[in-house]
Amino acid sequence: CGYHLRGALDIPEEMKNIYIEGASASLRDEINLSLKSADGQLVSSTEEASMVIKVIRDDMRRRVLSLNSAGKATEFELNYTVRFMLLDPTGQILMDQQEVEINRDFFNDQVDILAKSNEEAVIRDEIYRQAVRAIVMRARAVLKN
Amino acid sequence: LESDSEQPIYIDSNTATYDDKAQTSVYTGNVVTIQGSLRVDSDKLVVYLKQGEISKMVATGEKAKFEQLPGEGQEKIKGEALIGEYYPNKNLLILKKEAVVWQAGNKSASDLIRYDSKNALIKAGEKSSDSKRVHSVFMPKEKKTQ
Amino acid sequence: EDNVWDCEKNKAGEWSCVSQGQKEPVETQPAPDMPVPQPLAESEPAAEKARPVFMKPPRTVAKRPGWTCSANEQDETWNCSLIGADPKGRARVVEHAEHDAGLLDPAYDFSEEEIFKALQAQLPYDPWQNCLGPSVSQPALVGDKDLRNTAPMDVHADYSEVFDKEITSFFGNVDITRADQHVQADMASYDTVSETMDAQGHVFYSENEISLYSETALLNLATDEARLREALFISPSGPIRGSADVVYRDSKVLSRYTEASFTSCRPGNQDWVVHADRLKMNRATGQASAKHAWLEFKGLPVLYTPYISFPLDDRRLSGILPPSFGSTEKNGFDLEVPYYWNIAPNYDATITPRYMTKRGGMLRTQFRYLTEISRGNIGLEYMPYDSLREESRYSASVQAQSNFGYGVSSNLDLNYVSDDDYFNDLNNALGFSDTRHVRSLADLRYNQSWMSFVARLENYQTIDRSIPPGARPYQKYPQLQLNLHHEMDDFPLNLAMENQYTYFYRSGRVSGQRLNLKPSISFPWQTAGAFFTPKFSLQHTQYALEDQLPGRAEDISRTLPIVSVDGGLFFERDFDFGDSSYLHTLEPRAFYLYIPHEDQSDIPLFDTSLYDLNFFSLFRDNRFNGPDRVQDANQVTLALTSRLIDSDSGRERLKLSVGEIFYFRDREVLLRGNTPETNSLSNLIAELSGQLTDHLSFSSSVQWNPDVNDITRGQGTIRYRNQPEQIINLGYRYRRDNPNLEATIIQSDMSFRWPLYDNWFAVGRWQYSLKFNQTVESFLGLEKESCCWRFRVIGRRFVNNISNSEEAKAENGVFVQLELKGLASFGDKVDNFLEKNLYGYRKPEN
Repeated sequence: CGYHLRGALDIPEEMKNIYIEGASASLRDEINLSLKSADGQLVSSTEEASMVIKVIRDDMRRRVLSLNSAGKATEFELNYTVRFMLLDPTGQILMDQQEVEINRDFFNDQVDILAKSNEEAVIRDEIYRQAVRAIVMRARAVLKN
Repeated sequence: LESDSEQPIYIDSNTATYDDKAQTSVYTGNVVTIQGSLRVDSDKLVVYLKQGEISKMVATGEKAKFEQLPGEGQEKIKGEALIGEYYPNKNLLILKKEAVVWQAGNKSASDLIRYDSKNALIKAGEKSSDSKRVHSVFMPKEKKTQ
Repeated sequence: EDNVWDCEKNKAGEWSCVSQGQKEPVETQPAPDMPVPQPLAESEPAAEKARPVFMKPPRTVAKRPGWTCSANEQDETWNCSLIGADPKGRARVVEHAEHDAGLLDPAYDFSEEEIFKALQAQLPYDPWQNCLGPSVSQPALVGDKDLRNTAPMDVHADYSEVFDKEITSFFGNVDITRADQHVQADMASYDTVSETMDAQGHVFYSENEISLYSETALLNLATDEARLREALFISPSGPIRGSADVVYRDSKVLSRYTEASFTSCRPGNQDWVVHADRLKMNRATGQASAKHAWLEFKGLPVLYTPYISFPLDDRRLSGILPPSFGSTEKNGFDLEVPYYWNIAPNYDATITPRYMTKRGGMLRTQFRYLTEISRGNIGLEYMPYDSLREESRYSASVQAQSNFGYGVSSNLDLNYVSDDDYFNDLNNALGFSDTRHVRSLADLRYNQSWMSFVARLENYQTIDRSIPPGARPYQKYPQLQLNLHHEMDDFPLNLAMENQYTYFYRSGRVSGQRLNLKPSISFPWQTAGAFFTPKFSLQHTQYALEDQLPGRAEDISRTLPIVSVDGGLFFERDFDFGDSSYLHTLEPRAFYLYIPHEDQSDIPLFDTSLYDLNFFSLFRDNRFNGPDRVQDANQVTLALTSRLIDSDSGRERLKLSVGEIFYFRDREVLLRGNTPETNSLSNLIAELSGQLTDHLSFSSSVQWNPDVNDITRGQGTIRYRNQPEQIINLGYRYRRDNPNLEATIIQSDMSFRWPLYDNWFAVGRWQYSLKFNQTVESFLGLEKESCCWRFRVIGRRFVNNISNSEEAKAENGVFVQLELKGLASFGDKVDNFLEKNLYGYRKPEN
């Protein structure tokens, strides 16, 4: 029925050495991890880089989603937006400003608040991993054509 | 100078013709007219006489030039224009058409400039219309360095 | 034909000319000059007239250009006067008496506004150009004021007289420029010795940083002083425009105005005007101040203040921020007047006295600091006497983030409130009272690329009395966490170790130390079309407890192996839909988990409860979110994700994920109790989300419980977002934690921001609980953003008794804020409230 296993997935050549500008520590670590697993690496200067990810906005927000009858928050939403652009080492724009937005909600009636903050930390890591996959997906789509 | 109007007028030119009936004499070819500290260089000069007295002199040329010493120890005043009309008895010089006057570093240009050397008054342009715009440039005074 | 009018200026300064159709005085046009060198007729110098009479109407328009006709009584003919060029029948705006509801007539009449527009045109750039549009960078200023004493002065005029080389006077359309100074007038006289210039009649004086109009102006070009009477001015860096009886320019940077009025609104708009006895502008410090000032807003006198200072440019300046007032049933009328104090480039403080009619006065101070390695703020709020509670109340907060370099950083976030109801009572109408604990923590971190170490002290102050003391969170005094990870380069092998030591303390309850070590080894094998990641971990947890419950061990240790295998395939197919090409993917995934059972019922629950079940939690190796419980598991998660990706941009247009866990054994490890879970299937979880158009997106998820054959979780949101102004969010949430009981949450949520007209916006949110048939949170607001002022009013109805448990009663509150742009910067209380409450709303950057 026309479906085939995905072709070359590993990160395109240009994305092997990446220099990141302006990202938060968590996003930077996550990009580093996902690069390592595809044997790319983070470089410390634009000269060594084959591509520059310029992060313009990297913003994790926490919002109340629902309140119970006594006005106490029972569900929270983590909303992560990262606005970025891709440049080549000389500063030419490969892909202009894009935004990836990820929302995750979880139940937290603030009773076992310690347990829920563990959960929130796990969710944040998953959000960053998801964001990095989306950035790589967008970058590959642009670099391919 | 104040005394210029009493001084004799010397005119030097290539050619000179006198028309007794019209009481005018015409000088052509790098004409130089001198009266006291006033000096006028022009291509052509027409002198009008009345009862033997010079009533008016008209100098024309590709920029007739004039210069005069307004007073002892002062900087010379210079000017040029396509037509220069000089009335010796009234000490009045009227420059017309692309007239420019330099005085103490300041420059004024217009199509009509009147220079009354007796009471040191320069009038440029025409009050009644904006057809003869005046353009003056005042150089800054050298500031005593504080 | 060049239609020249013979006009006489009568005493009222009104020009009147004899109109066509009546006896037309023959105007002899001066004969065109004969070609040179025809001797001219005797032209005697015109006798000196007392005052030059202008033949042409004045160049700049004091009155509206074109015809103004008034019928004269006697002979019903029209007495028309023409100003400026003859419009030859073209229509023009008649002076419309635009007195709206204001008591006062407008500060600047129509002709003054025309002059303001002429002044505006003279400036090197239009200061109001990026009023609401994108901020355009201002072009470099022409000429530099320091060149003034070296630059020549260039003068154009119809006629000039130089008397004795010193006094020059110019008449008729005088136009003078020197470096950045530019003067236009009908007449000007200049004394070359004293370098003073006296300009008369429609005087326009402009420099880079100010442009003025007046009838008379005395300028001293040597000392840059000037005095203008009856002046109108525009200071572009504000931008501020206004008028004054007398304007003194004392130097290049200092100017003083008496009997002044000013506004920052665009010429032609007088929404607000400040009238002041004296106004002073200092370009060097960028500060302006006014004395005995009263504010007129939309024609209504609103505010008097003996002194007001405001910034001339965007330098941070100490000054009063816009006051905000509101009212709530609990606190009555509520007024805050913040004062911003710019102590130093990297220190500033905001001191906000606040008064509530029902409670009394309180003072909030917030001090901010910024150094190379650290930045933070300290907030203190103190209320000497709360008349409702008859006691003093206070709150303190310290936030400090420091980065010491070499991977060492610290984070401090300490908060304390004097009593449980503090937030509940003292928040203004926008305050948030849904938090039940106040957290304080102090972190010291050391990060390298392969490891991260955090030492943390953490404590919660519970401010919700409905949480029994027994259920209050433990304090972590301290918690040390060391995570190590190493990825082999050439072989898919990852080693990792998570280590954590925590001393949990809670008075009156079991406390103790916990050491949790979790080494793990995984083989992340990955190709383009598939991935397969076996992972082995060994979790060893050791407890040394005090005050343990009777009959339970005080020293417990638990060691469990965790085996998980995660694998998946990526199928894809290109296909075209309409004119765009898509990539459709099918991504099956399986996650097997095996953990032997070990009894953990003696272990207290320090920081552990159940993860909230959702699609992501299907692939975690523990269903508990803390180390106090490691589930016994022999299960496999089967899931399928399918995406529709736009091949040009890589954006996911549509995404569907479905997953479920198949249990091969009962789960005996529980949080509490001892009845094992025996169901063989978890909830079936399906999530569908998509970006249908550039503006419209939706996300939804549903959980179907096979045992009760019913949906136990469901939520859906639709979001429309079109540029920052148009936002609509619709949402519905349904949740039933215990499948056998009725729902815990059934709630609808709707929020919007929509432009009404003329830059008025409506904002609103409505959260309604269908379970309790009660509006839980709702607000409606109006926002006006205009060139020179911003106004917000928000009415809020919310449930607010977070601290006591009887039935919650709703509360109403109103919040109002007015900002006069250029006069004071906007407090961001409302922006934060909207960002928290209105999904998609982002603070406008101005």
